Amino acid sequence: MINDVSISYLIFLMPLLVFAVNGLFLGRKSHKAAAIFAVAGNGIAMCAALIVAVHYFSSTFAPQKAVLFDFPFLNFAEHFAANIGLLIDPLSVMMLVVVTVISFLVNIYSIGYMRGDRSAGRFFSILSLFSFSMLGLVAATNLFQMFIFWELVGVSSYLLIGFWYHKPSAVSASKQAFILTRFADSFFLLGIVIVSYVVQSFDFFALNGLTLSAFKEQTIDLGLTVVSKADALILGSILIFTGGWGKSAMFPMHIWLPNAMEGPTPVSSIIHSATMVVAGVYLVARLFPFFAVCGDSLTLIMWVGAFTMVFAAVIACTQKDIKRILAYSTLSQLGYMMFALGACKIGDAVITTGWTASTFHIFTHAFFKCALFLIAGSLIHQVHTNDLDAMGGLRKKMPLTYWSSLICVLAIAGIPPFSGFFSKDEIILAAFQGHHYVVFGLAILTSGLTTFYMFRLFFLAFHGTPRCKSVAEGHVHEDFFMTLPIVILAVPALLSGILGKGLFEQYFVPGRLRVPQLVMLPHAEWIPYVAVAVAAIALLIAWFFYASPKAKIERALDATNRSSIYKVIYHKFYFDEMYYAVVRQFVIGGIARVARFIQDYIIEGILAFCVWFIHKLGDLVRYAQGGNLSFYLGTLIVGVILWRFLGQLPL
Amino acid sequence: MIQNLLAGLIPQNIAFPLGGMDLAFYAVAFIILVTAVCTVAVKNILQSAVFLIFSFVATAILYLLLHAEFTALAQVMVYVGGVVIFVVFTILLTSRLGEDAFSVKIPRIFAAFALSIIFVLVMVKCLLPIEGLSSGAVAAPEGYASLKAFAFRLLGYGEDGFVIPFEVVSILLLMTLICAITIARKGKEDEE
Amino acid sequence: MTLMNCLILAFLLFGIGVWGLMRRRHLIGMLISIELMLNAANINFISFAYFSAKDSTAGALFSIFVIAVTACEMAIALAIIVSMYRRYKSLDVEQLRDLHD
Repeated sequence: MINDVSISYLIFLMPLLVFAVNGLFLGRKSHKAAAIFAVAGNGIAMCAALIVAVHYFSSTFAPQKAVLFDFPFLNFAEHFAANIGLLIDPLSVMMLVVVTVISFLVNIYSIGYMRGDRSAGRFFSILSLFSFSMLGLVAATNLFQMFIFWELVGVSSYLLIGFWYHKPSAVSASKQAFILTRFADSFFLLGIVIVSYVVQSFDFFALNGLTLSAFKEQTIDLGLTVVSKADALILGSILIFTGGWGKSAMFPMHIWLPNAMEGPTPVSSIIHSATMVVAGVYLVARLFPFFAVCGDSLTLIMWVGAFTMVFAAVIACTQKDIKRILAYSTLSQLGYMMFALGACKIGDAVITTGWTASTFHIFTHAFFKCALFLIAGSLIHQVHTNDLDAMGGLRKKMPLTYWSSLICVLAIAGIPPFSGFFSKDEIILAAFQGHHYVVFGLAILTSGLTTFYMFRLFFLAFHGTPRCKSVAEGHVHEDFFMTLPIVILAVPALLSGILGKGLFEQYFVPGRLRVPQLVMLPHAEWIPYVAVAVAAIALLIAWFFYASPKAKIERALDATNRSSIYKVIYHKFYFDEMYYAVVRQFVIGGIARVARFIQDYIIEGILAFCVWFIHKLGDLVRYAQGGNLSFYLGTLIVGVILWRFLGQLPL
Repeated sequence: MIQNLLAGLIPQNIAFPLGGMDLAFYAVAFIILVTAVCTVAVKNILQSAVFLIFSFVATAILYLLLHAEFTALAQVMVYVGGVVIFVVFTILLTSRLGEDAFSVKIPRIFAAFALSIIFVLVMVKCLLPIEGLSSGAVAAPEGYASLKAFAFRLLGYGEDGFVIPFEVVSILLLMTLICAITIARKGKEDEE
Repeated sequence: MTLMNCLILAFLLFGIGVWGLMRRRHLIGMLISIELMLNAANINFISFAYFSAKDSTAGALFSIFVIAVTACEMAIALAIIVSMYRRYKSLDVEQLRDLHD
């Protein structure tokens, strides 16, 4: 019987099927067949997701949650089991739509991008594995299942960043990404353990429905100290956030994201812009009532997000690698989403504007950021390098790309009526309504910076005279498979704001909150105007620097004789070097050396001892065969003695 | 606690009577042990054989103390006058005089000593719990090992006669004679 | 002169014999140690016969048998030793390893 439930199973099963079939059979045989199967599978999943979404939101069922199934998977104790289940509620439906649509479009794009690559089959297979993992993550009913898929997503990301494994920089970047996120995930797991121990459940409903007052009296005895369960819960919530800290690349665990650009561009567009890095934001959004109850966790989240937002935007202004600019831009936008969630907390009360704004921004950001990455991939394909030094003047040669790019850049800059304006505006409004004025100021400043560096990228890439020889000679063409998704994605970049605003404001609330909720919120009609004004000024500055006829582009691109502040920012505040130094000195020099010592001397020593012992034992036994008379006599006497002690010699 | 330990170490069951016979016994026992140790400890085997003679003679005196005259006689005649002489002959036959004694490795010395000490201790410890060994009561009738008593028992046909073992031993002696001659004969291939 | 004393003497003598057996490298030396051990066994027999036997004569008689058998054994052992000396020109037990494969 075909109903919504069975259609929703299809959403998950199709990418899994594509992964299995492509990985085992089609990937080796024919890249074309693998590509077609991947596109078809993901297309079916996308249609299923869209059908479910339409039915869900158009019926009167929304915004209630539906749990499609909940199967106990591991039983830890009575009434305490880890389940695998499927959750349908506004947030998960929205994410399902986003992930499947983007996955489908990226698969089409990959047909063009990976043409001629000898391991394209593997690419399509792992890409679908990633889709499956992400879908499982967003539809999880409990923390445990989410963690399983969280790790699966990390694995797919590792496999895809290091896809070209013969490139040492790609291998190093994939290792860095995996290790850093894994490091954060270890704290995540610790948080899950603590919280589930206190609450005796992994389920999101259970976690979101509790209040701290029930736990203030109860304590946990650790032997050395006694900890109240409420404090344990607060600590657990911060540890759970640490998982999102790493996965969403907040400062200071941000360095893996720009380096993850070593992977193929379709990977960057789906994983590191639209979906995986948003998993951290999704985690906080899903557990929002829990975080709201647990002390000041939300305030921590807000400051972390705000700092990342400004930090990344500043760095992006000086970078020259087009994908890195986009990576830092993603970091900055993630900072927006994260701080919007944190800004909901005012003292002991909570507002919900930030939650709605953050989820709305997830939705709009996915489309235009994905499109921007695909555009970057297209440009890179033409000039064969990531550097902005080599681009320029592509406007006349690639018209479709140019106009789609313009739409997307206007969207990210927050100019009405493009989609980014609506979502960013809500975020800034949430900051204002939460009375967090410092963060509000930072948000407006970053909005200006965002516009500046995005238009810098746009002008340098498309305007001016071509700086690459092959472009100047006209050897440029727009690949059909690569341009089609870009054009398709430009549509939601344009319209998703206007069309989605009503939907989001109606259905997207975080659910029942156990903390007091402020309802009387200050209205600030002047905020959108201020934001647009700041963006417009930034656009003019960028124009002046990079696109006007008087602009000295050569000088703008030259990073050598600049002020030292510029140099520091250009080198990303030397964070990469700092991490490298720490790893080298502390981890490799210190811990690894100790581990090596233990390996060489202790473990190998024990093994060598065992070998030596058995050798000597063999020698002893061989001695018995040696024809040595005295030894035999001695053995006789020893035998008599032993007989007395062990046997029945009647002495 | 130390008293208990010492009391445990010093056996309760051993008596050391100091009558006249007992002094003689201690003296003979001392000689036996000293000569035995010398037998084993000297490097030169010829000296070792000589000390063995002394040890056997002392043992014969011990037998006399125990009123076993015939046994003492047999001991001196057979052991001293037969076996040890035979050993001396063999030593002289098979070694060059002035040859160095073999040296023994230190771990072997230590292991041998330890093993024998352990063995003796184990045996003695088994002995101690047995009652009635320290009484000094003599259960043997007078002349139990005299020639007459021996003759009657050794050649007696009755139930407690030992004539069959006597005959068997004589066959054994015959076999020994034949075997020894056969083994030690210079065969044609050994002629140099 | 209790039975216990005699027995302890016998055991000590036996122990000395064992020590000699282990320690010596010369075949004849080992044979001499065996002699001591047999001697100790004999002392054992006689002391039991004297102190606490129901049939003392049989005990003493048995020790005579032991002496006889010892003599036989020594005869054959020495014959073997002479033969081995002829073959290997050495009486060092460490060098006579024909039992070894």
